Amino acid sequence: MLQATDLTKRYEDGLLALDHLNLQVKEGEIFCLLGANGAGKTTTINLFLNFIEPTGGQALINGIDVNKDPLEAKKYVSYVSENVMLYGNFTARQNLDFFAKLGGKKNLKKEDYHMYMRKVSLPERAFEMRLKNFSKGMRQKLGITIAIIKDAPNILLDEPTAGLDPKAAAEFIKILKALRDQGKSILMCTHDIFRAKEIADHVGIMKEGRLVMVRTREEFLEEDLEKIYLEYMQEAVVA
Amino acid sequence: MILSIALKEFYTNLVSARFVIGFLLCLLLIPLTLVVNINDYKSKVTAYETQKKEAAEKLKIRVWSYLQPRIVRPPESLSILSRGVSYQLGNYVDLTFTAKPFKASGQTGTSDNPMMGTYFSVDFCTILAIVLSLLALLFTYDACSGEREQGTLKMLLSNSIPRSVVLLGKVLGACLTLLPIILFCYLLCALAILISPDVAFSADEWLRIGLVLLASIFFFATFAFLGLFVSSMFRHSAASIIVCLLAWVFFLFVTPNVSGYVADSLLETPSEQALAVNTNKFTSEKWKEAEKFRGEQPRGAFDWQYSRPTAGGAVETSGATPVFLEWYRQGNKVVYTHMIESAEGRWLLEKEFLDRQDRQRLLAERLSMVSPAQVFQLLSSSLCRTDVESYKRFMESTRRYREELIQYLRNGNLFDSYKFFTAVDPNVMMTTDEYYNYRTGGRIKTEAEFEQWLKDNPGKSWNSIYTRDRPSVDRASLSLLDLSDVPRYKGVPGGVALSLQDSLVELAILVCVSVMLFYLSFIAFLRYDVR
Amino acid sequence: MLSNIILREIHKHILSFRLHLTMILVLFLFGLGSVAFIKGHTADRESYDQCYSTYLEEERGLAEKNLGDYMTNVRSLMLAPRNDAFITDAKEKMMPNQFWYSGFFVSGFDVPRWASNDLMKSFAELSWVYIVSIIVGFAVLLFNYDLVSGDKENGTLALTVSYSVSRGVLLTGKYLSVITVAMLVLLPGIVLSLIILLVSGAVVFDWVLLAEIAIFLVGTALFVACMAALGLLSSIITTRLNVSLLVCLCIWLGSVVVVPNSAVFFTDKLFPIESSQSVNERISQAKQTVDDRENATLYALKVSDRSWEKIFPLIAKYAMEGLQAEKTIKDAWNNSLFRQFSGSRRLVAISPVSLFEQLSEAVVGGGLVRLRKSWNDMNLYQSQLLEWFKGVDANDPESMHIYIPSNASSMTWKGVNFATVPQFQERRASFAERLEGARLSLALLILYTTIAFALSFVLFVRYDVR
Repeated sequence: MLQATDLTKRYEDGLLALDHLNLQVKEGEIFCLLGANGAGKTTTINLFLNFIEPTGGQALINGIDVNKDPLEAKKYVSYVSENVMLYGNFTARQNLDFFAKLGGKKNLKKEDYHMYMRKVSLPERAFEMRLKNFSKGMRQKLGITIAIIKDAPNILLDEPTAGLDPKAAAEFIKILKALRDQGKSILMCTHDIFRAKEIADHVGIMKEGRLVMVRTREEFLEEDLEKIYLEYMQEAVVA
Repeated sequence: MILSIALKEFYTNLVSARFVIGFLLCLLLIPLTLVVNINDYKSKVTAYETQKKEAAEKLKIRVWSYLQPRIVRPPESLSILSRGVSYQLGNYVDLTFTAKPFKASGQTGTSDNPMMGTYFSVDFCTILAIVLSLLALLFTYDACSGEREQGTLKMLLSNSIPRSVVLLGKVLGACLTLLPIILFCYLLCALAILISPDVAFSADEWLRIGLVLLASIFFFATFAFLGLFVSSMFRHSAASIIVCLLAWVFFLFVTPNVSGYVADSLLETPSEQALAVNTNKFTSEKWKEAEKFRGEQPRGAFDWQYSRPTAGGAVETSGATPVFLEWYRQGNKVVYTHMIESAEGRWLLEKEFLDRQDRQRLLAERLSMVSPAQVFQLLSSSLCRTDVESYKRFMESTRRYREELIQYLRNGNLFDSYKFFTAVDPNVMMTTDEYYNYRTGGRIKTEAEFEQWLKDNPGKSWNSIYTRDRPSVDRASLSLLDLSDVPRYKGVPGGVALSLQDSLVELAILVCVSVMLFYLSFIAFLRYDVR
Repeated sequence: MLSNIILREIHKHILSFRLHLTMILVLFLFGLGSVAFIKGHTADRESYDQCYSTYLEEERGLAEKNLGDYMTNVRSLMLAPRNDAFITDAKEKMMPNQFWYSGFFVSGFDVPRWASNDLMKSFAELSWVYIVSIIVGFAVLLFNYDLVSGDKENGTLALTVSYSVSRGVLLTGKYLSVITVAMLVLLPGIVLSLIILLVSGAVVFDWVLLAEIAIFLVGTALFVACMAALGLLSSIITTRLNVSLLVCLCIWLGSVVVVPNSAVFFTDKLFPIESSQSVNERISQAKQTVDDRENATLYALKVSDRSWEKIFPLIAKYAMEGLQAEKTIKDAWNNSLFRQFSGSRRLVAISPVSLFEQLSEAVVGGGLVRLRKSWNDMNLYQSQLLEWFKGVDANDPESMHIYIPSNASSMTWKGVNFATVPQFQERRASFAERLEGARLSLALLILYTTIAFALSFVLFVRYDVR
């Protein structure tokens, strides 16, 4: 479970990037965080991963305060960044191997890695291909494979479908659904309203560091989510 | 965990362009410098052989006052690794009674053409320092900033792995990458030495090379940690590489020259020419004083065959009257005692000059220790016995040997013996009367008659009454002195322990600086913004 | 369009971190170099003046006492430290600048052993040339290793090329901007240095010096252009940023370390000279032959015939023969030294840094240019002095008019007013002579720049900007 309690981040120059964020992602749930660029979505993820320190509040992963015991907390979370770059000179399998070992999974064999990659529908030729020759879609899939191998109960994703063609995005979403069904808590930051509507159990809209709206699946399916989202964005522009 | 990261670094580095180019640089430059330096060493050996021959010739003397042995310092084979000052200073000393050894003589530089002195030659340790430090920086300048830009730093740190582990893994990875290159360079060096017929190393020398290797590792570590530190201070690799490269140019190229130039301007050394004028004046005045101690040349004392004075002022007499020989013999002890004492006075002037030169050198060295590369150079030249301290030890040993020789002559009462200045038997020499009789073919029979003749024939030259040339002895027929008893020069003391003692400060600096830089990188990386 | 590109590039560079850092380093070095130069140069001048006045006193003493002794005395004369050595010292402290001569013979030149502290490792002086060739040359490569490959990697190259601007114009713009920026980095340093020198009063600024400074700056621009062209070429040939940086570093290392370092070794192999030991042996042998003949002739005379009047002409004849033999051998050897050194300079001409050093050396009329000229002038002076002496000697009725190079007894014993004795004055090379000395380096620098830029041009036209 992921939980943010009054999570606040104010930078030295006075910028309030996150203002008393309260959210919760339970097991088997996908929470999509929507918002304009600079609204605070990435800051939230950075706080959960202890990349920066909060000025107030707490970020809890499975009940462990990330700021107080980051090493323990990170055992229970996987991360897929917006641009999965990895190590260009290594093959896909070598990259998986490295991160698997980091995540504590030391005994996997080549066939195991191949199996994981097949699961995410990566083409066979890509298994031993150097990462610098991967397309964006393939890289994102590899990123989620790393998360799958780590098998942590929580997953954080930052704009995972940005720049993907519709087919690749659809495949990616399918994988996320499967992970949700396995009981993982997933927090996903995205611009992609279409996909958010497709898989989110909860949707939150962030504006200028504050979580201004939260809707459950039932609620936002009834409403016109696009319209609401655009309205909030407009206000942001006008303001 | 550390090992995984280290191995990942290692494999990444291995296939990178920097590794290949770095390796090629070493492959190209190291053999080139080895060939050049072995060649220079060969010419040193040739010069050494010549001087040894001349030294042997100098021991073929007939009189003790001619004892001016030449001490030749064998060329240092480790100068192939580190030239130090071995090509700037001479390698032999000619001992005399009248002066303590001041500076070693001998050809300096590697070419007979004085204009070629404007080129510098680089030794193995310098090339190693240049290439190693560059590679160390090139492999670590983007340790933090590069991974951050790549996005993999976030991936790494999203796992349950402490930052210290990541850093140590990177350090280990850089070491794993560069250690083979260092070892390869030394392997090339060892190969060149083993193959070359002109160079032979003993166990002592191999031990020293081992120590230089150890020093190189610390040196490389210093630059690796410097690169790491710079990387952890900047978010962008582009900025980090600029700082690293400018630091590299500053430490490797600017500092050695600036420190020398600044020391040269800050501390003035007096002119050696002025010193030479002063000391020569001093010595010649002392000679004049000394000669006065002989007293007036008595009547009947006359010499007609003698050599030109040697560098030490000694004269070998081969044709003189017994009265002369006796008078001269008695005077010698006082004269030489006086001159040996005066040597101390002269030495005071020379020592002051040498001390000032040394102070300037020390200032330059201390200023240059800002750069780890220079520290490494000083360390390696000390281990290779090509530094100034080794030279000073050699000069001290020649001064001590001179004292031994003087003591030997004193103990044997040789200063006031006939053998000190003449190889002929005084008993068979002509008196003055016999001399004039001989030269005028009997026409003049005594000295008194000759003086009378001169009075009677003013304006006429002596030659007009001589019918025979001067009676001369063929010096080559006289016997040489037996020098088997004379104490031999035993060489310069100095083992590895002594060199290490000399270079303790430099070693300490290298170790401390690398530890400090590592600590600083550690602190900086712990706070590094990974976003 | 071209000016647009140039201005943009210059603006980009001026804001860059690397420029600021380089400028700080350059300013520091220029300042330090000038201060150290003032101290060092003042001390050098003082000790030289002292030496020279001692030399003049001795000369005066000899000339006014016994002109014959004056002519036979072998003495040394040093060249004065140059006023403009802050531009380049031309390594004159390591070059021979001391001539040995008597009225009859200029025997050679050498490096006075006491000129520098031989306990200290030799160092390069922090002259303008040093700072430009090492630091600015390096900085130029740092500025332009990513000129093309950098823009390619961050996408701006593709964007720029998508406009209707010719690739040639784009490349030229980038190239000219780097040269301009490098000169901009340099100028504050030079101004600082000039201010320090002016304020200290250690250097007298006359027209010649100002002309030298101006020509030096032109030479610097040429050197910068050459390094920039090489950096540009490596940026285009290599597709990746890291690799172009490495190539630039290798170019710089090669020019600064490898080429000058191997000069002595290859010069020995390609332009060998006889060893000085062998030359000395030949000279002593030649002299010995003459001596033997002299002794044979002398001893052939009866003892009673050995009067000064009979002996001197013979001694003079053989002395001149001996001198002539030595002179022939020595002159040939000295010429071979010059030949070898010129050869070594041609060998290092691969390196633009060495070329720049040689060019600057010619601009200030120092180094080899100065040595050659002074050597020739010295020989000229010696023959003029001898002629003058023979004229004075002819007017002395008591002189035997027999000229023996090592013995004054058969020449005039009278002293003369020292003011009438011709003195050697060093004449600095004229600008025409300096240009002559600079021809090779100038031509090669221009050649390298042109080739590198032309190649870059051709390659850039087909460059893959994606």
